[in-house]
Amino acid sequence: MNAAIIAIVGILWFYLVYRFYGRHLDRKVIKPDDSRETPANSLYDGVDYVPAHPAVLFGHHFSSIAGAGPIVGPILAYSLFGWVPALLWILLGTAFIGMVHDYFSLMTSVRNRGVSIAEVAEEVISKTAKWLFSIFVWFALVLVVAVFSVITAKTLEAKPQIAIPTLGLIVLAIFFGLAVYRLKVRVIPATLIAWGFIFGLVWLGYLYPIRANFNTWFYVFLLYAFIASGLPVWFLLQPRDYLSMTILFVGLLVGYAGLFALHPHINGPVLHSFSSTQGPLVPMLFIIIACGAISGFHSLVASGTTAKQLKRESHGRIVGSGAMIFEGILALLVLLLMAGALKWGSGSGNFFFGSILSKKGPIVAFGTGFGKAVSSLGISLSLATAFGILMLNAFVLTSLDTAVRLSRFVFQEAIAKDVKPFNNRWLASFIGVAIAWAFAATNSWKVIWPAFGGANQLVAALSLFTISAYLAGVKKPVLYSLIPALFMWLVTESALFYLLVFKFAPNAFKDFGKLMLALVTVVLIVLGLMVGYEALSAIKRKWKLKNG
Amino acid sequence: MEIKEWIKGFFKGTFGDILFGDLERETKEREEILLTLLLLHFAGLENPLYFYLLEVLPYLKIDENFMRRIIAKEELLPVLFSRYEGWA
Repeated sequence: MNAAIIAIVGILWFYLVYRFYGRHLDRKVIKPDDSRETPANSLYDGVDYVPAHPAVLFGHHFSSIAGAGPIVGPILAYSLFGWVPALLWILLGTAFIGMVHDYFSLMTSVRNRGVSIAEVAEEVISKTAKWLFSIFVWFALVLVVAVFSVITAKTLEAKPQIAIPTLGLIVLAIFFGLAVYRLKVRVIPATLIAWGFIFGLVWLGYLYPIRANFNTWFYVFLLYAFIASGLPVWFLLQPRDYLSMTILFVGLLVGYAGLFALHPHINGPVLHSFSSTQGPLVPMLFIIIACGAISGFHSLVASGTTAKQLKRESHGRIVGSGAMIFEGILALLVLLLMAGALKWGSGSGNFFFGSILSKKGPIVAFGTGFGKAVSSLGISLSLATAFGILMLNAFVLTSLDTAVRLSRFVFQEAIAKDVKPFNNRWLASFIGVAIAWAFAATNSWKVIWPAFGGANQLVAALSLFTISAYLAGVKKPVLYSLIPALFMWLVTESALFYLLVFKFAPNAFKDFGKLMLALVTVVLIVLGLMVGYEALSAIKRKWKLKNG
Repeated sequence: MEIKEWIKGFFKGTFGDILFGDLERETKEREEILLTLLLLHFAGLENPLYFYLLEVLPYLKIDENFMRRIIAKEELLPVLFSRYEGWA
């Protein structure tokens, strides 16, 4: 089947979902009412609570939730299960779980004075629920650090030409920041010059590849994440996030243009296997593609900052659901590029998905597929490939130090609030990085990724439970969120159980990394069961109150 | 017209605010601290510079939400005074 047709059908599907299912949710559950004051207006303080134009808010929300997650997940899922299961999960998951989750968590927060979903959980479920949010989020962040440092190290080991652009981008971002903030260079010319430098760096990288082994790169990136997470945000984080965002945005547009220009036939298997090396299709698929279909992090963003800036309730749909739909479109592009532009299996040529993925990792696989599609627009293949690799690598690096930074905040605020030494930011960061190092000792990103997905999906299940409990309390239909909540909870718990019994436990005493992963999985399973029990009893209680 | 506004807003939200969002917020904050200082007299606090500051009043741009913001920031005055501690 032609990938371009699937892309068109997919985008059409997303549009219809947004239009009809989104409106159905509005009519049945949310019932947005513009005469009701949103927290941005009623609690207006000029700093956090400020009403914003919906387009600005959509941009904020999208740039906070888009990242490397929706790119890595579909690549792994396609390699394990084939393209149809991955496609179906992206299309259906985004529509019936992801969109509901994002939109409802935004609106739940808006109706609760703009407080975060964790605080709503404390109110409607129990005090422990709030604490569990922090624990799941912290584990997910630490696992992200582990998996992304392994992935980047693998990329640079396999493709030494990318070393100069990857490291150069960090330096470039610092200079870009200085130029924009200190020398007051205007943003658009500065961006164009920075883009010129990016291409220059790619060219330099091809002239002077830096060869080093996996371990060297791995430690370099852990050290980078540790140091970068402690720097002031304007120095590195903001300019680099900005540059990566422009790269991602241009990449998304060019990638779709390339996909339509190449319009390849999908040559991968419809269904590769029900039972892969990483586990059976159900439940593993649902935690491997996390961010492209549903991700717990989105609820934190939606309820953390977005809810405080929503001007009118009727804007909620375009911001909450719309951004999730865009994320689904990004995941769809990645899947179709892999399945269409690359050849399935292994071989001696340049475009064999299987051999690239196993030897060079997901970032190079994405770059190669992207490069092949974009080269059909008339751009040179090696330049387009390098751009594709850099696009993902930039995002992985961004996520790496942002994750260390966030893990530090979560750790200090929730877990180690009253212990004085942990208030030192370097110590709190160091704990996150050290544990990430321990997880990464297995050296296999394919093993760590599902564990990250598990922690992330538990956050999603917990948010959906919270939303359901809230809806039950205000006498609204709960099934639209409760069914996804139960689904996510069951698949995640069973996937974690599978990982523990068949993947981590058997080798736990031979492999330090697996021992650590086994321990974290046990913690997640037990806490996940607690979440389910508490949430369901809270919902039952509210349900009885409603009917009695 | 509306489409233009949407496109502008989208670019501001997706790209511009990553770079300048925090700066804009801080600038606003400083402006408000300045305004509060200038208007202290009207809040019932003695200000020896009051007569000089009167001349500035016509040039101040005070939007309708200023008082709401000041009331919302309950902690603003203590913060303000801690910053200027030792001046008096």
